[in-house]
Amino acid sequence: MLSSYQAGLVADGSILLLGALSVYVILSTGQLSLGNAGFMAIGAYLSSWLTVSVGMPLTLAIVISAAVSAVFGLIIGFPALRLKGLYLAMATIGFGEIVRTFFLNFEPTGGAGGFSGMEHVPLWYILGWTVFTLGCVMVTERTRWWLEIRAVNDDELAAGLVGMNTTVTKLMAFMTGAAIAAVAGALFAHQTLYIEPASFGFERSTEFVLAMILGGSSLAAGSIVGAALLILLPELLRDFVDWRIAIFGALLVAVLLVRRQGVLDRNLFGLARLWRRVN
Amino acid sequence: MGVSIFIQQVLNGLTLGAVYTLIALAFSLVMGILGILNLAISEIFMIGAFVGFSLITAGVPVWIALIGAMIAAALVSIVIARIGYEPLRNANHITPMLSTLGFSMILQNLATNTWGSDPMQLTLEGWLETRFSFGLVSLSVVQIVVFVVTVGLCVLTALLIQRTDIGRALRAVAENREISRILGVRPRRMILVAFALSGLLAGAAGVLVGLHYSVITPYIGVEIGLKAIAVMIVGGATNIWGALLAGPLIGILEVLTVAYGGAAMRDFVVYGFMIVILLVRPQGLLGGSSKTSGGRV
Amino acid sequence: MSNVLEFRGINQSFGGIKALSDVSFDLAKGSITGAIGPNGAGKTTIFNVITGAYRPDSGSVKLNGQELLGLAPYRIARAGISRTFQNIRLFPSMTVWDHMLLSQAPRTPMLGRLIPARKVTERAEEMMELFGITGVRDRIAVSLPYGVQRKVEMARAYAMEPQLLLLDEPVAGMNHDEADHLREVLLGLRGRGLSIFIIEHDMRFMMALCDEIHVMNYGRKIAGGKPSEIQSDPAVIAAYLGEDA
Ligand SMILES: Nc1ncnc2c1ncn2[C@@H]1O[C@H](COP(=O)(O)OP(=O)(O)OP(=O)(O)O)[C@@H](O)[C@H]1O
Ligand SMILES: [Mg+2]
Repeated sequence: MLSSYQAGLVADGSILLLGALSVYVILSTGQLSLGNAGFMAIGAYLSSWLTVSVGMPLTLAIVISAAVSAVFGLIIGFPALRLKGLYLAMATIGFGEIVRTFFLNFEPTGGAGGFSGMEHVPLWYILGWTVFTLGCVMVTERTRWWLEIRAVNDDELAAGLVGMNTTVTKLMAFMTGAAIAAVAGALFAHQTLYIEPASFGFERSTEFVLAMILGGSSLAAGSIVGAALLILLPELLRDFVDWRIAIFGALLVAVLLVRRQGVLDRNLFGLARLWRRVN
Repeated sequence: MGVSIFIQQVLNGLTLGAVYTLIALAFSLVMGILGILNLAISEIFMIGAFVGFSLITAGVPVWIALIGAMIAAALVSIVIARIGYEPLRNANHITPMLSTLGFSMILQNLATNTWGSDPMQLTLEGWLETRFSFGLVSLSVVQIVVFVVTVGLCVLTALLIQRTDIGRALRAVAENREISRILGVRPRRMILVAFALSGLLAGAAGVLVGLHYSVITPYIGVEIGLKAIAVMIVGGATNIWGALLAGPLIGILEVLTVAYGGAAMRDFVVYGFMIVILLVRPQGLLGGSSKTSGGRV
Repeated sequence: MSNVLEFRGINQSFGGIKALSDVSFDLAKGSITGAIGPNGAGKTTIFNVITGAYRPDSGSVKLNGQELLGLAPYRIARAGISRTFQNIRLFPSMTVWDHMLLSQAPRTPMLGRLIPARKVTERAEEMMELFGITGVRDRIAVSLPYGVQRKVEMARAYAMEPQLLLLDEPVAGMNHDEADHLREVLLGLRGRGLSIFIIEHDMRFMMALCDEIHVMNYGRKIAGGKPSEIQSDPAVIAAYLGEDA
C-alpha cells in the first residue's frame, strides 16, 4: 500500500498530467496557451461551489464545470480565429490573470481568503478521471480528427486549401483543453480541500506547459512522462530544493535545444511498432 | 479637492505608465524585429531592479546605478539571445518563446535565492527625497527622474532606430529576414543588438520602478513586467511606438482603477482592456492594417 | 458543352504589381485546360484566386454557376475544387497514408471521422495505386524525392473527389518516363469526367495533353485556344522570344 505521502504524490502527479494534457490538446493545433490555470480555476471554484453550496454529487459537478469551462475556452479561443500564434499566447496570459483577479475579488467564493468545505476524494477517483481522460485523448489521436489537428499545426494555410475548416478545429481543441483543465482544477480542489486565487497564477500555467514539453509534445503519452518527471525530480533533488524552479527552467531550455520533441515522441512509438512487426 | 486628487492620480499613473512604456518597448523591439515574444524580459526587468537597488544601497550614485543595472540587464539579455534564441531561430515561433520561459524561471529562482523573497526596502536620501507641492498636488523628484529618464531613453531609441545604420539594419531585418541577408545585413548581429537594446530598456525600467515604489520583490516581473505585454498589445505589437501611447494610457487607467475601484481590480481592468483590444482591434491602437490573408502560396 | 468554371474580369494587384489584369476564361467540363507563360506571368495567382487564397480586387469566379469569390478556402475546396502547389505543401509530420486519409476527412460527417470506414481506406489505397506511390505508404511524405512528393500532392488532391483539379507544375522534378506516365493518368481521369486545369512549363508535355491552352504574360491573357493554334500565335511567339532575348 502507498503511504499517504506517496498517495499525495500520485494525486498531484495525476492532476499535473491532466493539466499537461490540457496544454497538449491545444498545442497540437500549433497554439500555445499560457492561461490554462484560468480554466483550472474555473473548474476548481465552480465544482467546489456546486458540491459545497449546492450539494451536488462530485461527478456531476465536474461534468458541469468542464462544460462551462469549455464555453470559456470557446470565448477565449475566438481571438484565435483572427490572431496568429503569438497573439493567442498573449491573450491567454491575460485570460489567466483575469480569472485569477476575478476570484480575488469575488466574495461569494471567499475572495482572497479562499474557499473550503470540500470533501476529500479517494485516490482511485482521481486516477479514474485521469485514465479516462488520457484514454479519450489517446484514442482520438488514432482517428482522422487528429490528423486534422496535426494538419492545422503543420501548415494551416494548406490545411484550409485542402478543405479543412481550420477555425472549427482550433476552437474545438481550445474547448477540449479548457474542459480538461477544468477537470484537473475540480480534482485539485477536492484533493487539497482548500483553494485560493494564488493557486491558479501564471506559474501554474507554465508548470503545465513545462510538463508537456519535457514529457513529449507530439503525443498524449508524453504528459505521463512529463508529470512524473516534475513530481519525482524534486524528490530526487532534495538537496537542491531551493533551486527547483531554476533546474526545471534549465531543463526546459536544454530539452528545446537538444531534443525539441521532448522525452517521448511519436517516432519512438513508431519504432516500437516496427520492431514488433519485424519480429 | 476632488480635482486635485484626480490630478495627483493622473501624475502617479503617468509615472507607472512611464515604466510600462519602457518595458513594453523592450518587448516590442524583440517582437517587432525578430517576431518572437521574449517572456524573459519581465524577469530581466526584475533583475535590473535588484541590481540597481543593490548598487544604490551600496552608496553608488543613482545615475551610475541606473547605467550599471542597464548594462547588467543587457548582458543577461545577450546570454538569453545566444543560448535561448539563436539556436532556435529557425524553429516555429513557439519554441523560442518556450525557451525564454525557461530563462524566466531561472532568473526568478536566482533572484529569490540571492535576494530572498521578502520585499526589499529602499530608503532614499538627499535630493531624491524632495517633493514639490502645488496646492494639494505634489510631485516628487523621483517622479521627475522617472519621466526624464523614460523620455530620454525613448528619444535615444528613436534616434538609434530611425537615424543610424544599426537602426536601418534592424528595420531591414524586421521587414524581411531573407532579403536583409542578401542586402548584407548580418542577422546574427542584429539579433544580439535587438536583445541588448531591449535588455537596456528593461533594466532601466527596473531601476525606475524601484525608485518609484521604493520597495521590490522577486515577483515584480510577473506582477508588473507581464502587464507590459498588455501595454504592447494595446499599443500595437508590430508598431514599436504604440507603447508610447499605450504605456501612459494603461498607467493612468490602472492608477485610477486603484483609486476609485479598489486595488484588487487593477489587473482585471488592464488585462480586460487588452482582451477587448485583441477582439476589436487586434493590430492595436497604432498598428497598421492587419492583413490576415496569410502568406504567399 | 457546359463550363465547369467561369473566370471573369479578374484584377489582382499586390502593392504596385498588377499580377492579373482583367483576365477571363472558361474551363469546359470534362476537359484538360492548360496555362502557360513566362515566370511571373500570373499563372499561380490564378490558382490562388480560384481557391480563395487571395481576394482579387474585382471580377467573378463561378463553379457550375455558383459564385466562389468571398468564400473561405475550405468551402471552395469542399465545393469541389482541389489543387496542388508549385512549392509543395505537404504536411511535414505525416506519412503518405496519413495524407490519403486526411484529404477525405472534410467530406465525411464529424462522427464518421472517428471510425475508420472501409470506404475511406479503400479509396486511399486506390489513390496510391493510381499515382504509383503504394510503395512509400508509410514514409514521411516530405522526406521523399520531389517527383514523388508531387504525386502525393496529386493523390491527396484527387482523393477529395473534386470536380475540378488544379495542378501547378506537376511535372517539375519528374523524369521523362514519369511525366509520360502522369499524362496517361491524367487522360484517364478526364475519361472519368474530371476537369483539369494545369500549369506547366514543359511544352512537349502540354501540347500532347491539353484540349485548350491559355497563355499569360505580365498578368494579361495574351492568347487562348487549341494547342496547335497557340503554337503558331504570333503574340505567344513574341512573348517567349522576348523572354529569351
Ligand atoms: N502574395 C503576393 N505578394 C506580392 N506579390 C505577389 C504575390 N503573389 C504573387 N505575386 C506577384 O505576382 C506576379 C505573378 O506571380 P505568379 O506566382 O502568379 O507567377 P507565375 O506565372 O506562377 O510564375 P512562375 O512560372 O514563376 O511560377 C509576380 O510578380 C509575383 O511576384
Ligand atoms: Mg507559379
